[in-house]
Amino acid sequence: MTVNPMYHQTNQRMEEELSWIRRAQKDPESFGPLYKKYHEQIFRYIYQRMDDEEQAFDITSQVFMKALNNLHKYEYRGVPFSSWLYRIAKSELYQSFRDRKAERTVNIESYQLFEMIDEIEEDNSEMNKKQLFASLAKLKEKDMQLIEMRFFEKRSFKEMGEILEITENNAKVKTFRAIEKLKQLFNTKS
Amino acid sequence: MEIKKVNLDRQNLSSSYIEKKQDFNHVLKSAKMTKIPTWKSPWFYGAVGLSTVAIVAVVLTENNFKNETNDNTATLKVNKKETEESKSKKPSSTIEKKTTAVNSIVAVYNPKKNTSSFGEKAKSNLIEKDFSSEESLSSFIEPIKIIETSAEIAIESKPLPKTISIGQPSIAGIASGIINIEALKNTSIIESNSSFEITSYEIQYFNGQQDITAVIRSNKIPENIKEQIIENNLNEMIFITGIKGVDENGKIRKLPSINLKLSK
Repeated sequence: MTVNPMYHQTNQRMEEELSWIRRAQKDPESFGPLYKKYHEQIFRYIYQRMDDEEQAFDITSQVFMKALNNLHKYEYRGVPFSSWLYRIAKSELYQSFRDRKAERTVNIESYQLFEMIDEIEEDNSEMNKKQLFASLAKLKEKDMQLIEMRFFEKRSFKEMGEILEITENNAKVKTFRAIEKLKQLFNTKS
Repeated sequence: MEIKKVNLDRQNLSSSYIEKKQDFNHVLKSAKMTKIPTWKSPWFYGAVGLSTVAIVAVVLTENNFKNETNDNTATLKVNKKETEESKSKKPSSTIEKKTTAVNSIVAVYNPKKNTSSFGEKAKSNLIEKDFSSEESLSSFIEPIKIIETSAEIAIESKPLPKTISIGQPSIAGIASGIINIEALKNTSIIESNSSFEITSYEIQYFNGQQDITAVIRSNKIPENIKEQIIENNLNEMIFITGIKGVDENGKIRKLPSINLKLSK
């Protein structure tokens, strides 16, 4: 499985990013490079979980607004700046679901379904594909979130842990349990 | 939270399309507009509120401490004199004399026992003030009794005198303002408008050479002090402070000051 290349950065890149943050903490207009670098990532993270494109752009703008307003509170902890942005994005996204401004949606590509079928050790047939699609729709949101991050967005357990504010091991365990639940739902159906 | 919808193979948005939607200026502007001003933030109110409370508490504590220190000093003086008087076991008079200089002089005068150097010094001061005559001393016999009363209270550790608004003392019915020479001449006591009996007070005046603060243990105004005031303080302010009186229950109370201007 490939991992998100934007997340894993060299030390040099991390230092460069930190200097941008320091500058932006003094002058908000210096936040530009960070906005440019992370806008697409954050937008895709949000749009992956909802249906409305315009609303996804709005929420993305809100995420960066909040980040700018709270940048003075940001502390570097040896992880990319994106994990902090993802946490804000997650919070904004779930707030919009609570406010019923948006609906929680899951977006899957066909090839991702086939990858999932391999993961649950089933035959790669068209029928199983439909079966899995139906099972995914029945999965609870917290389990769906883990499967989404791990299999559809190709995130490492470390990154998942940083976004969800849990340890890497915990992310691993929780993802394994989510797959088990999906297997159960798949087998119940069949 | 419930998953409402599952989409399969939704149309992907290209990176260039997403890039076109970037609008950093809008984000910057919105961030400035939504930013809560420092003075509106809860932590600001918390910090400012706490600081205000702390400052008020410090000021109040400071004031209380100063008042208590003054009262304690007065009580200590009374205790000291009481001890000396009880040792001599003879009628004596107590006069405290302070000047506005840094080193104030506290003199204890016993007309029949003044052999010590301290007594000598006190004697010289008293001669200067002409307190040696029997007539002027007689006005201090009564105050000695009052000292005994106040000393007893101090020994029993009763609460310190408190400032009260009633019982305004006065001289010839004047508590503040102008008093003429005749009125002062004809008055020999400081009286209170309530049932307080004045026991002691401090009077500040000019004796022709320097500013004097005399502590009088009586409600009477000594004749020689009166004369010096009349002679040297025309159109000058005379301050009578630290006035203490005994109420009906025998409790010592601190009474309001008297500020007078002497005129013809």
